[in-house]
Amino acid sequence: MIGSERKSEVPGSEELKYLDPRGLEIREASCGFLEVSVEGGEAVRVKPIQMFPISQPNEYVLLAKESGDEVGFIKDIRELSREDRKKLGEALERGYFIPTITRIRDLRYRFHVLYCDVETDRGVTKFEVRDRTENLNLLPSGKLIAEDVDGNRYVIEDINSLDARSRALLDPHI
Amino acid sequence: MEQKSKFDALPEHLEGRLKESMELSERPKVVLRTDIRPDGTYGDAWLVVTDRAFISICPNHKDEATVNRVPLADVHGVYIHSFVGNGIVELKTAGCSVEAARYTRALADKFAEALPEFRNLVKEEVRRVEGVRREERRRRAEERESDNDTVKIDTKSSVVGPAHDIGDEVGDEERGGGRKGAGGDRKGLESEGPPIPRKVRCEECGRAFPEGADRCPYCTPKAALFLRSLTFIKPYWPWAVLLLVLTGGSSILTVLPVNFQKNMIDDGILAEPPNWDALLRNWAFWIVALAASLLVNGVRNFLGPWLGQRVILYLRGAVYRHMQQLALSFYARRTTGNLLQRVTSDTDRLQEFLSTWLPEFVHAVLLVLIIGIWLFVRNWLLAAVSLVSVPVMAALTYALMRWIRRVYHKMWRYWASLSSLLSDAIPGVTVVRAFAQEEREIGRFDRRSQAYYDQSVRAIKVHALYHPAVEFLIMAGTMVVWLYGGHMVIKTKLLGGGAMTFGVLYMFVRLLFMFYWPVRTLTMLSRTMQRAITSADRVFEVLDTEPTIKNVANPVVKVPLEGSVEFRHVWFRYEEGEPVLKNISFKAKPGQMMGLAGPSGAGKSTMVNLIARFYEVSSGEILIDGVNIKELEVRSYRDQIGMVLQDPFLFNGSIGMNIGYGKVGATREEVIVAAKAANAHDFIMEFPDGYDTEVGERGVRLSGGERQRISIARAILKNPRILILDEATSSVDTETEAKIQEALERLVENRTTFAIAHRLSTLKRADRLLILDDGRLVEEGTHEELMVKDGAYARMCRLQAEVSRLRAI
Repeated sequence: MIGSERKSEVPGSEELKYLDPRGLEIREASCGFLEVSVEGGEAVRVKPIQMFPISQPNEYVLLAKESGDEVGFIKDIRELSREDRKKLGEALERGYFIPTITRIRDLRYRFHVLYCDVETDRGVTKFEVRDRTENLNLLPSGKLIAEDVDGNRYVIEDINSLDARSRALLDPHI
Repeated sequence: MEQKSKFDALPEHLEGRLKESMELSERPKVVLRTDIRPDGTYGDAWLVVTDRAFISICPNHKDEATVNRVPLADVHGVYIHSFVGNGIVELKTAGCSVEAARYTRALADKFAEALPEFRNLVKEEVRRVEGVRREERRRRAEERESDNDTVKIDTKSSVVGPAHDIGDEVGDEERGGGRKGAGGDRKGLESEGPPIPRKVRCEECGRAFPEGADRCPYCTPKAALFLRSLTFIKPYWPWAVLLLVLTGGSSILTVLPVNFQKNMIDDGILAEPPNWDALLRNWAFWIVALAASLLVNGVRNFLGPWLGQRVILYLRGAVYRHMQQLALSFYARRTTGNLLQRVTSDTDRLQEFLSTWLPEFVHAVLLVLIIGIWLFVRNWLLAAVSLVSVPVMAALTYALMRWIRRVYHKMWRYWASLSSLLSDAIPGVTVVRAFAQEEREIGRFDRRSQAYYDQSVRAIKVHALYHPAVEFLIMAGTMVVWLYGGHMVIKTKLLGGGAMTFGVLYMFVRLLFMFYWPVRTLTMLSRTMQRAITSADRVFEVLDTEPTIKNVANPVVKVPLEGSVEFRHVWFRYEEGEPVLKNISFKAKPGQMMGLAGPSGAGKSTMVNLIARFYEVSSGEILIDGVNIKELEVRSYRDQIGMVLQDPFLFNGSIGMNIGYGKVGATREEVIVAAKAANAHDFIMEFPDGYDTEVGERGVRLSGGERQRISIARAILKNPRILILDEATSSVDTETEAKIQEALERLVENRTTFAIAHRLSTLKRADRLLILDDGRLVEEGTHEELMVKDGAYARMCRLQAEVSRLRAI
């Protein structure tokens, strides 16, 4: 008895709406937004937001209007049709521009700023990281998330699979 | 007028492509370089906005480029979206939305700055097109009048027109009220004032500033900075000169004994015949030199650190004094830790540099010079041979030291991670138990502990390697000298003549030994200098920041204030980002109680901070008793303002001292009267130490409600003319709340009061209510008026009633 009463008290439990991929129609993707229609309803413009961008990027994707109202969430984007996935992927790629670092060309630590010169899946780039403890976040899995002075993010999927030189450059800083 | 472009310039090889896609009369107005191409890879692309169209140019390989053109007349709205790691410029047109540019966040400021420009260009174009169309219509009408011509063409040309005005109404609803857009304004074409760019990078060299600094260490002239740190020594210059002289003396005295030892060997022991007098004489010189060296070094070792501490004592005081005068906005940008660091470790590091490292470097340089010159003068050939090893030695030492530092740094990081885990898990032990997560915590601990152990072993290995390595480096040079020098001594003995004696060889060996340590010191020069310069810069940054809230030339001193407060079109933004208050106007009469309500983040606290003049308004004005707040003398004004905050800050000290903080020289009686009025007296008397009870750091030893009542007593004692209550009764239990409420009612009498509350029931007796939403004043009036009006306030009241009804169940 008490158990069941409690359950409904979990805040927000009823507000999270699961979207059935079969009833979901993604019409268009542009500028990081999607035009979607739910259960044959009117088309609305939504922004896909990953609720667990690091641990489960492919699951729990929330669709929210620009006003902040939530339309619902997609439990697993792999359940979507191929075209829908492509459109969603396009929008997510814009919402989360997080290049994956594949090789470190050079790292220099000068005046408390880490100067990084790296190769990523989006091309070669340079960036600066301040406050290494705060902005280089190494997860137990070996995944490293870096945030630069401008708020751009970069990721290394697994620092253990970096080449030896990159690893040697990175090591003193993590 | 022919201003070709703003912001960036288009590279020459793309000029042609741009020309091709422009009309003849078209002129580029804004050219922006972006750093992400449409496919999401890094690379330069360009957004050109002319007086007719948005043109995106993306160069391909070779010299081609894809060009995408969107006429301004088709654009209904220009938006900038900032997403994770990138931003997008969106153009909304009738049918769809077009992505005009993507850029990383490094360029976010540039695009934000350009947004109003984009919108202006669109507006101008729309106006122009409408003008042309009107002209057209007029002409046609005239033509029709004259020869009754067709209507068909007319409809065709006006197709674009109506679509515009409808287009943006479809967007989401207007937020808040109180803003009456000028007729033709469209959403997405309106700008909210120019954004203030965040300063993360140096404007000159483009490098990032170090954490918490606002100046570029590369571009601040280092020599100047270094000299400026020396200015602190200036008042003590005779001592500094003495220190320098002693350092020089010490260097000479360090090497001098070697000369006497050489003489003892050559003129005494190995002389033909051996000379007892020479031995004794030089031995005596040695003793004198040794005694002098001990004396000089003793004085030097005292003088250096003393001078350093002396200088830093002054500097620390200057930094703290200056920080107390700086505006709150200076603090808002920095963490407490960062600021603490400037007073403590940065000044300390400077001290260390000035008092330890600087003399040490001077000493090292002098030693290297003296020894080097001496060796060369004695025997340049042997000197050259033996010093060959020195650069190698220096380089190896440098590399080795770097390696060691890395290993130790990593060890330190692991240690920090281990202790941060402990400081997390131990206070959180209740939670750990409650969720039965002991095993998990132990696992986490073990992993980090193991990592630290592994790293320690590495450090031990390095350490074990270090000493033999250093010894080898020194010995290698020495062994060369023994071999080559010995060869020369033998040659001299056999052939006669020549200047190489055994004494000289001995001297070379000894001096080479001595050479090693200053060289090692010098390898640390760059690192130590870097650290000291960063610290110096951070200290100077504080000293150089001008207090923004300053008295005007002839400030108005008004004591006592009557207490009327008026806002006139007040806009405010913190240093970074969006406006927090947008066009606020209202008036509070002396003695009135004003209630402030609205969702969190609506700008309530900002508003009272402006009243207390912790910040200056961005535009508009605040009048106190009809005088602009900027004209009032700061201290006498703040003296008449009382604040009671949600989480009151108490200083580490007794309760009595904390209450008395509001009034210099308050008597005990006054303190007690204030405590009684604040309903604090009773609980204070229950403490064994009464008013002398220590509250602990930040008042931790008291409960929230107790701290609150002490802060009310503090405010009562101050007897302010304007009172600010920021969520004074939230986060305490109902009984305590009643007591606090009662105390507040006593406090509110006869003062202009601004009360912020989430619990709207506490605001019922306010004379007027100000309802804020998203930085705008959306409603104003008494409780009854607003209930009748049935707007935002009435809605909030109903919602709270609902919630408390649910809670009651």
